[in-house]
Amino acid sequence: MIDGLLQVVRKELAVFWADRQGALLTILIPVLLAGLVGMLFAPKEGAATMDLLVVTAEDHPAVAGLIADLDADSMITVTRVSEAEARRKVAAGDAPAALLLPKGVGDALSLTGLFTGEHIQVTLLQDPSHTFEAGFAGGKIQQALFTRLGKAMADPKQLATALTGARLLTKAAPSVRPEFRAFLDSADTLVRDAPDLIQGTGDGQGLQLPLKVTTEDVAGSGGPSDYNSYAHTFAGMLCMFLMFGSLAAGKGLVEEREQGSLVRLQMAPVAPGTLLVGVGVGAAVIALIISAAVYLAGMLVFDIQVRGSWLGFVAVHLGQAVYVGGFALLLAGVGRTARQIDGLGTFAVLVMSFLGGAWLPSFLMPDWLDHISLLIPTRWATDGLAAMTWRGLPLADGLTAAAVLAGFGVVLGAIGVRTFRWR
Amino acid sequence: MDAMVEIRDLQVRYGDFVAVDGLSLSVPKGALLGLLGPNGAGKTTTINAICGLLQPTAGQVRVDGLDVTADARGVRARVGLVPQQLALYPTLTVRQNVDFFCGLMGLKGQRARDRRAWALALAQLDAKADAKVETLSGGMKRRLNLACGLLHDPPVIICDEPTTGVDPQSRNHLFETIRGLHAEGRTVIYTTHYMEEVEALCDRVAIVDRGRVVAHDRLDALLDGGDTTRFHVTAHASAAQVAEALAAFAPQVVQAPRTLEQVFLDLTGRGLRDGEADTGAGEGAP
Repeated sequence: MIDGLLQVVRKELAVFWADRQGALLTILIPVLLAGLVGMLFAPKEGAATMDLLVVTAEDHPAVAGLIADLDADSMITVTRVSEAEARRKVAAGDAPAALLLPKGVGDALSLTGLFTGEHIQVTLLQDPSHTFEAGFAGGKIQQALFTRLGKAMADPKQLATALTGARLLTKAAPSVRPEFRAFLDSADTLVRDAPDLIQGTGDGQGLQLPLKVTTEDVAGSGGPSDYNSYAHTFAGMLCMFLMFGSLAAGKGLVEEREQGSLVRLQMAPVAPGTLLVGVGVGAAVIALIISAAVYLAGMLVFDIQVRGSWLGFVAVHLGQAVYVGGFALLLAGVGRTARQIDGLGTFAVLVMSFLGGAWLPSFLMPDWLDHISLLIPTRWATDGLAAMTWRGLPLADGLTAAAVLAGFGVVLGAIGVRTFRWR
Repeated sequence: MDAMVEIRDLQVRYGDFVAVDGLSLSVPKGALLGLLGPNGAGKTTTINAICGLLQPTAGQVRVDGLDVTADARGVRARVGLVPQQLALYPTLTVRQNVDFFCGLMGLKGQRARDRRAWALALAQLDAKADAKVETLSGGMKRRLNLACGLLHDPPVIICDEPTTGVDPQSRNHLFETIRGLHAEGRTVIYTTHYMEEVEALCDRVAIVDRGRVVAHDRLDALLDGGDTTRFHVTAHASAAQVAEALAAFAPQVVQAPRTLEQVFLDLTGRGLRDGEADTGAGEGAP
């Protein structure tokens, strides 16, 4: 039985290698496409900035400071425009969002209206098709506003002006409790008599925002993560093209049936199921060869690194290969004709590639789709390879993905063998 | 004479469609049998049953004494099937094809090398051993197709329309090859639509129609049978004058000898069988 299976595997490899140009293309195309798509997602300096249009109704130093703060953010590029131009550009989709700063923003940022109870309405215009970017801009604007207010609070001069204004207001309001008046008096005294305490002269001194947020990239290995967009695109494109390889293997089997040449295989003293499994194993071995070549190119040219477990990395590829072999048999089993396999298989490969995160990372998917995609083998392949490459997760994550993929392969292959029609 | 292939009351059904309907046929050891029949008559189904490639609904098929149902693998080891379609891998070389089928048939080591050499010689493709099959002519492919079916040295050979699309030289070579294999004592079952091939090649003929054997005998006996009576006329006149005189005497008198094609049409009718197809698997069955 093993002899017969090995003969079929050897033949499949010989047929694959007989068309050397075709074999080379099955390696080159995923590498080129993954490189191209990876380039689009690469987190390069200045490449991930968004345009923010800003409309100002006054020439105030605090407003200028706010705009400067926003512009200083490496992820935002500020352009000052008129309101009409801002509305036109956002409506036309030329800019994702525009910030309208009306008259009074400068005073508000200078603490003038701190105790007046008045609110200045700041508006963010957004393109409905870019709500994600607009939300991102909104967060950045809030951050800049608080930073600017913090700076004003730490300026004894501005704080004193605000307190003076507040004291004048409370004098005219008999309902204000005497304790609050006393607080304002003592705060005013503090600001005027000991400005150093407000402004600060060194670490741990002065009026400062009590919280500071910093970001840190982490990887499963505990070291700093070095996100490589190519690591994602190589996993996705490889998986998609391996499935296209499955399609070719399944179609080849059905074409042999259509041509009537399977009958000679049936005449061999080998169980029919063994012959089919041989085709599946052949497809799996070819998938492994392509995977090795594609990742070798990815490592040498695009600096993809295995930051997790090498054993897990190999295991995911083995699991993926089993899945590819099983998928080939499934297609051969359910497709009555080669044309059916072409249509059905292409649809299945494209849908599974999309849902499984081969095109776009799963973290960009809506929640419901993110959950559903766990039923798609492609998702386990891309996640498993991401875990073992740029995410740097431990062996267990790789083994889990490999086991799920192999499980899919065995089940799909069994269905294919069961449903395959020899004539 | 011992029967190498014995078929008794074979019935093969696919749902309501009866592909073979109580067919019985005995092929003596060492015979070269022409198996004839119109499209959809049940030839391919019968061949598949002999090879153990399908499960009969009823009846029994024995090859060299082995029951096909009970020991399909044993039967296949004794039968070399040369299918009508080219069962070859066109992108592989001649040698790779032969080696693959040798391996698949369980041939190893020196035995495999000997059989490969035998196959290349039989197909006269020694010089083309490293050429891809897709580059060969139609005749070369047919010869290789034949050789690959016989790698395991079977005592029974079944050729299913082996001369489809070949030139006269290649057809002649295939005939010589089959005659040679027959001369070595092998039993050959040869199906074709070309009556002249059967007349030139076979010593026995079985005609199948609507899933049954409608005639089975030695070729000369079939040609001599029927209602036709042969007269040997010696006359000092031209053949046309004799024919004219005879025709005046009896309109049924024909000048030509009885041919196998005539026998075939007499037995199976002259109506077209375009709508019927025997795929051996019930495809196209109602």
